[in-house]
Parts: sequence; C-alpha cells; structure tokens
Amino acid sequence: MILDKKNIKNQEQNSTKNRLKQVFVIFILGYLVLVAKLFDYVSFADNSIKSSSYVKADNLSRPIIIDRNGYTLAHDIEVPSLAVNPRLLINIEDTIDQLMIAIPGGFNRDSLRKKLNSKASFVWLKRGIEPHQKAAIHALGIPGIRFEDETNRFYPYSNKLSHVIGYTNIDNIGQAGIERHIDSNLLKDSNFYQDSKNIQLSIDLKVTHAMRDELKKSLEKYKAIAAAGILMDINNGEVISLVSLPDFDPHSPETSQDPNYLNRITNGAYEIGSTFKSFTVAMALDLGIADLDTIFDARNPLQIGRRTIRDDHAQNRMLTLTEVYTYSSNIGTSRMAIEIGGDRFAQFLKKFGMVNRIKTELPELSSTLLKPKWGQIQLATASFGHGIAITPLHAAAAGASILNGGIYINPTFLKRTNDTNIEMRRAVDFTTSKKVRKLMYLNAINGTAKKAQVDGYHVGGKTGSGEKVENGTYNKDKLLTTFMGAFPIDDPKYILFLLLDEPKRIDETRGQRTAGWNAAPTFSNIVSRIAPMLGVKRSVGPSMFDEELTIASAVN
Amino acid sequence: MIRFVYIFFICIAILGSLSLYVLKYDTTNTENQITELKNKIIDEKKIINVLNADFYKLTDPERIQKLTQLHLTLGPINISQQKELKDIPMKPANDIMDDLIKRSLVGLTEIETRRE
Repeated sequence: MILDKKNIKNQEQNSTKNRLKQVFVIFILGYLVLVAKLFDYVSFADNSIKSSSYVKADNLSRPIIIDRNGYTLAHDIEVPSLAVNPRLLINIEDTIDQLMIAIPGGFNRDSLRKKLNSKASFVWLKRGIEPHQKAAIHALGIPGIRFEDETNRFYPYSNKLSHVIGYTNIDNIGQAGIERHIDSNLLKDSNFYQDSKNIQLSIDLKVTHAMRDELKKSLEKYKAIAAAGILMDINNGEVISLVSLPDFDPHSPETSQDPNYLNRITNGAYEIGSTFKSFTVAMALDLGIADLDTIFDARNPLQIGRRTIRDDHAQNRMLTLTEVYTYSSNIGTSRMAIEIGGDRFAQFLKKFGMVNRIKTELPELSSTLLKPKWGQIQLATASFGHGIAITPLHAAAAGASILNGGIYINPTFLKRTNDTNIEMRRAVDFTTSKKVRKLMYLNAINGTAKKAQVDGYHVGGKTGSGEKVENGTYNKDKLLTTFMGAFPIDDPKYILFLLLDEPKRIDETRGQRTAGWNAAPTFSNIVSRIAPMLGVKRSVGPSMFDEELTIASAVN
Repeated sequence: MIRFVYIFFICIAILGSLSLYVLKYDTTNTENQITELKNKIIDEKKIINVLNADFYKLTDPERIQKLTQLHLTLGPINISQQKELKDIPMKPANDIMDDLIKRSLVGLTEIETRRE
C-alpha cells in the first residue's frame, strides 16, 4: 500500500512536472510571438503606425492653362464662401441687419430672410466673397455663420481669351472652350496627370491682345456689330490668335448665351463672299483648266436660267484669270466654276476640309452649309462665296492649304511639339499654291486689297463682301465683309482671316462699306503691329513676284 | 534554471516595449511635423496663387498699354526699326588695326607695371 502510495505520489509529481513543462513551453512561445511582433514594429514602424493628424486637401488641382510663351491664362484660386446653420441663429432680424451692413449691396433682404428661416442645417448665403468681407463678417461673431473655402477658376485676362479658354461652372467643371475640352477629353485620360499638369495652348497672349485691340478699333470705327479674326501658323496649323468681338467675362459667363456673343470664328457659318474666289481659282489652276493668263469672257452679265450674275467692279471686257481675281469678277469665277463642274468642285470642297465640322479641341464648332447638288447656278454663285456657308476656321485652314505649298493641316489650339503627329494631306499642287500666292500679292498691289498693304512687308490677300441672309432672303442693308490674307507673301508664315459683321458707311471711307474699305485696312493695322512681335523679318527689296512681273513684261 | 530564462525574457519584453513606445512617439511627432509642413506648403501655395493672380492682372498687356499711353512716349515697334546684321557697316580696316595696336600696347604696359 505504502509503495503504491509512493508510486502514486511519484506519478502525481511526474504529471505535475509535465504540465508545468507544457505551460512553460506555451509561455515561451507566447514571448516569442511578442518578440517577433516587437521586431516587426521596430523594423516596419512606418507602415504600422498611422498618424491621426489631418492633411488639408489640395484643391488647386485643375490644370493650369498657359499660352505658347508660358503666360498663365487660367488657374485656380481659393475664395471664401459664406454659409450658415440657421438652427444656431439667435435673432434672425438682427443677423439680417448685421449682414446687410457688413456687405453693402451684397444681399437682398427678403431672400436673406427666407434663407435664414429655413429648416436646413446648412444654407449657402453667398459664394465667392472678398477676403476683407470675410474678415468683416467674422468680426461680427454671429453663431451659426461659417466660411467654406472654395476653389474657383481665375482668368487674369478675363475677356481677352474667353472664346478660346471658355469657362467653368460653380463646381469648377469646364463648360465651354478649352476648359470643357479638359474635362471631356484630358481628365479622363489617366496618363494625363503623370505627364504634366499644365496645358499649353498655341495661343500667343500678346499677339491676341494686339489683334483684339485693333479689331476693337475697327469695330468702333466702322460701327459694326461684331468683328472677329483668326491668325494661324500656315505650316503647322497652330492657331496663334483667335478673337471674336463681342466677348464675355468668363467669371460671369451668363452673357455668353446671347447669340451675339457667339464665337464667330468656329461657331458661325457665313457666306464669306468674294474671299471664296481664292479657292475657286485654286481649283481651276490645280486642275489645269486655266492658268494665270487664261482669258475669261466678262463682257456681259452671265445669264444662267433665270438668274443673272453681274460684277461689282464691272470691266465689261475679256479678262485674264489674274484680272478676274484682282477685279473680283463674279462672271469670271462663275465661268471657271462651271468649267470645273459639280463633281470636281465637291471633291475639292472635301480636300479643303469644308464638308465636315473641323476636328479640333474647341467644342463650339459649326459645320458648313453646302448645297446637296451642284448644278450650274449653285456652282456659279458658290464660286464667289454665295449660297455656301463656311466658318472662318474652315476658311483659314483651307486658306493655309492653298498658300503653304498645298498641304491641308488640321488646325489646333494646343501647342505642337516636334514629336506631335500632325494630321496632314495634300490638297493642291505646289505650283498651284505658288500661283495663288502671286495672285494674292497682285491683288494687294493693284486689286481690291490695296488698303491691306503693310509698310515693310510684302502681303497678299483677298477681300469679300456679302449681303447677310435674313429670313431666307438677302438683306441689302446688312453686309458681312471678310478678308483673307497672308504674310510675308513670298514665303507665307501666317494666315489671317478677318470678318466684320454689318460695317456701316462712314465719312472716311467716302460712303463705302465693302471689305476693301474696312476689312482690308484692319488687316494692314493688325499685321503691321503683330508681324514684328511674331519675329517675321522685314521684306527687303522687291517681292519675288515683282521680279517675275518685270521679266514677263520684258518678254512681252 | 527556469528563473533565469524567465528573467531574461521579461527583460527583453520590457526593453522591447520601451523602445517601441519611444519609436512610436517619435514617428507620431515626425508625422505631425510632416503634416504641419504639408499644410503650410498648401497654405503658401494658395497665397502664392492669389499673389500670382494679382501679378497677372497687373501685367495685363491692356493695362500696360494704357499706362504707357498715359505716362510714356513709347510706341509700338515700327518695322523700320528692324535691321539686318549686314546693314550695319563694318568698322574701317585701319581703325581696327589702330585699335588692336592700342590694346596690345595697353596690355604690355599693364604687364610691365605689374612686374615692377
């Protein structure tokens, strides 16, 4: 029994030791886990410890828009806005009085009372207040009043570029122009933020200012209702300047809804008048159906069906193609267009990009108005820019194609870099392009565009005047004058298309109101001001076309 | 035996937790500093933006034009002011030689005076 007892005791002791050992092992394992965890904390501290402190949101996140030289055209700034929690207000009438005094003229008493009596816990009182107004209201110490910083878009040059840049709404989302392009195209692209936060336009701020200044002078001088112009780099399609007067303030863009504030360059389709003859002549030259000295019969008005086509500067004689262009003979170009024929005319319109809406960054784009069928009468009138409506952007892009050596380049508002893939195609032959340059130059020397001449530069251009269409008929009292010109014409770098809407007869123009009297001198004023800014070298000596002229006359 | 092991592990645990807390507070402090600096940067950025806005407004070509018309006799660049490099006449050859000789003499005298 005793042995048994001892045995049992020994057994009990053994089992107790075993259990202790088990507990000991468990504890050791526990410590090991703790040590491992500590080691983990020490070596990966940054990941495992989260700071509870609060980083402010960087709201200035909308891309900055800069011009081709790096001037900022649009950027975000933070402005305080005034809000209230009406439930916390003690005396509503008192608050109204205090607020009315703090921001004089900033509130309407009735609507303010309505807002303060609302049951909501958060009501906007005024969005976008000035810093000193914030300080004044803050000093009143009204309970329930609060300020929320809101990000707003700021356009330092307000009206100057509003038609290009567009504007954003109160939530800072682009609604028009490049701003809209940013939201609808660029921000969707995830690579965009990695690449760059700035958007560089092809627009030149200073040139735009000079052009706008001159257009404004013309607008006032000729008492027109609108004036617009587009300057394009002829060789890469960059739009250097786009002005459409009247323009609006992008900070309060409500006026831009008024039809008179339309972007006339991209969003207005017009019958540009005789300026279109440049294209008709280019077609005829390119097809080889006429050369500069081919003779056209302009002795009598041209009778097509029931319509009679007359000349404004009637010569009543046979005219060479050059004379058709410089005297702006409707009869001559009508005959040309009929010879070109409907099919080939339509093909050329396609080559000149006049069939479709132009694909570019601005969302405000108008399509052209073309005739569905090109019969003789439609061809004849279209040859001098009637019964065919295109936007000035179409005209400038097509004009560039017949002047730069025959390449049609899609216009762009973004600056092109060397590696940008430029969409281009051949529109006309190089020799055609050279002939059109010569025609434009001659037109500025002794044609309808004499007043477009610029001191120190050889320029060339074509005028156009058309009666405006109102309610389906032409209104003789309302004229639209256009001018398309290039400089320096020997080797064109830039094309400028101008448009004056309803210029009036004034004393200085001796009662005239056609393009040669208003649009042409405007071209001269603008070019003499912007050409030095653009670094265009002064034209020294006679033009290369002058030399050809003297050689030609010597031979004859 | 077991006692030593226990003591050893307890010491490790105490040391470990101490270093951990020190580290934790250090990190939190640094993090706070970072946040503070980040917030400062954002605040500064906002102020810079407002100042920039002012600057752009003040350097608006339209405003500069008005001011120059009011206060200065400057006008826009005239194209006649632009000249080619070749339009500038060369200095007559004799003058260039005289100039060179004069300069070399000046150089010599300078060296001589320095030597003395």
